[in-house]
Amino acid sequence: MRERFELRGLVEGRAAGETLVVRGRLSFYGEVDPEKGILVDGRSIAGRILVMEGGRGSTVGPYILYALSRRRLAPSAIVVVEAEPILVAGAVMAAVPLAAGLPREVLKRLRDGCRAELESKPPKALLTIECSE
Amino acid sequence: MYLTREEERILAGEEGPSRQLAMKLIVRVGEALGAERLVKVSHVHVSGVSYSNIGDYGLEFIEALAASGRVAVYSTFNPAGFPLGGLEPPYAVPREYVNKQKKIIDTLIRMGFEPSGTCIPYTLREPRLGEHLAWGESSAVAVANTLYGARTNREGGPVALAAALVGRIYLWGLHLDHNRRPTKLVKVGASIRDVLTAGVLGYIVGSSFSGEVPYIEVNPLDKWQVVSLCAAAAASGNTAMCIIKGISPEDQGPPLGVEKVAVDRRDIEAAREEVETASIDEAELFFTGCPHHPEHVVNKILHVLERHGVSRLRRPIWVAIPGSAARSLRRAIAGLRERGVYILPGTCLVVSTLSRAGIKAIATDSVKTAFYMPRRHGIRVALSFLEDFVKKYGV
Repeated sequence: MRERFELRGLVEGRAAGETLVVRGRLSFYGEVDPEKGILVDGRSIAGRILVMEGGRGSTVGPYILYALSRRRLAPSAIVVVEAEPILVAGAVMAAVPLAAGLPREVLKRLRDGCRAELESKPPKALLTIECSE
Repeated sequence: MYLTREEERILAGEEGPSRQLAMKLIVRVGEALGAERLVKVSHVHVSGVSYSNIGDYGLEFIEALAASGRVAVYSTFNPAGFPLGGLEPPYAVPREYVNKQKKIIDTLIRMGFEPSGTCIPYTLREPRLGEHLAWGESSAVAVANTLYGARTNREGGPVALAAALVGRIYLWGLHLDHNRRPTKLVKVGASIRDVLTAGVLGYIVGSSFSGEVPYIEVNPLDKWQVVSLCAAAAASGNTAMCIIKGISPEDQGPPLGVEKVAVDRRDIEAAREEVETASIDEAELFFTGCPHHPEHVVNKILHVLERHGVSRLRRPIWVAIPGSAARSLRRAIAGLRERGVYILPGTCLVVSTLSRAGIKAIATDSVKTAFYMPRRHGIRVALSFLEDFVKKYGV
């Protein structure tokens, strides 16, 4: 099934890849290994379209996202329900396209490994997701 | 967001990649917050320069910015993780840590930052009423808004760095008149006569009214009592501004139609008990200077020692002052050291490596320190005055 969502573009860019879903809020500091690009649960975020509730926590977070991008381990795009300034700062520093406004119910049912494409042109963004059965 | 022609030019990269990235950071964060335009700032103060806080990745980013970027406006930075000025600290700091921290500071200075290393940037350049600033360091932010009537939000590390490179910040939050009006009325029944008690009041304000702009009706306070109050409130809560009766330049009298809260002597005593986790007998040292003392504190300490006929202390006193004062005080610092008084320029114990030093309890007159020490370093804290410590441990 192919779905399209009109979102709020916060950081510009275009990316395509597989979804990686984090149901809650993610703190890049402490919850992502900056040398390996993996989450504490072992999943890799490198090159994925990271879909989550939002970011949270420490002002050091942006530096981690920046470090990930320098090591080519950053997500290729980030899509959130709600964005806060710290996450926006990190996405700009890492040049990762970022969009907000994903409906919460979509986050709830979305799973890893779907095909996603984001085109972010602030203030707008377009997300398409295609999950195989 | 509306941008001027000059801002558009910077965003297009015409002043180099560092300024372009900095401008993009400010613009994008501003847009996400809903700001309509940017505003020029006259002083940027960057926090998050301690290696303990930002680590290798923060250093990496600062170095990348420095490759092609210089500050566009007067800019200062917060204290570092160990004393500056080439002095041996009275506690062990790993060599690797020292090298990395020096690299961070050297890079900032190369970008044109004032060699400051202090959390009291208002003593280096006094903010003016109504002036726009972009400051990190929560205590300094609260002092700028409360005591000087200057305007700044609490700007996190990378945003403040970006503001230094482009001399602008988004017009949002406390930069706007309507967000600077008091939202709570706090009537203080207790008498506040010293920095310690002012800090305890600040602790109550921060923990009870986080994110509000409280109007505080209290007996007249001096500058350093206001600083202590602001620092404690900004540590225990998200407080970025208070209006203090008769002191804040924006005081227009007690606000009408807001919730009123009374704070009496018992509240102060209870809060003090909550913050205090050790006794002066257990304290291995006395720490003062959070926020930093201005450099003339050295004379004050000498007077206290003299007044009590103390030549030397059995347990040391540590005093944090701005890094910029290290050179002029060199001789005094060496002399005091022999008497058990360690002057620590340009550092902050909160962001230090102190947790590895094996210290179990300290005494301090800083409520901000008392708030952070158990949380950051597992060190318990007694609240007391320097003079009492000198009387007890002086010989």
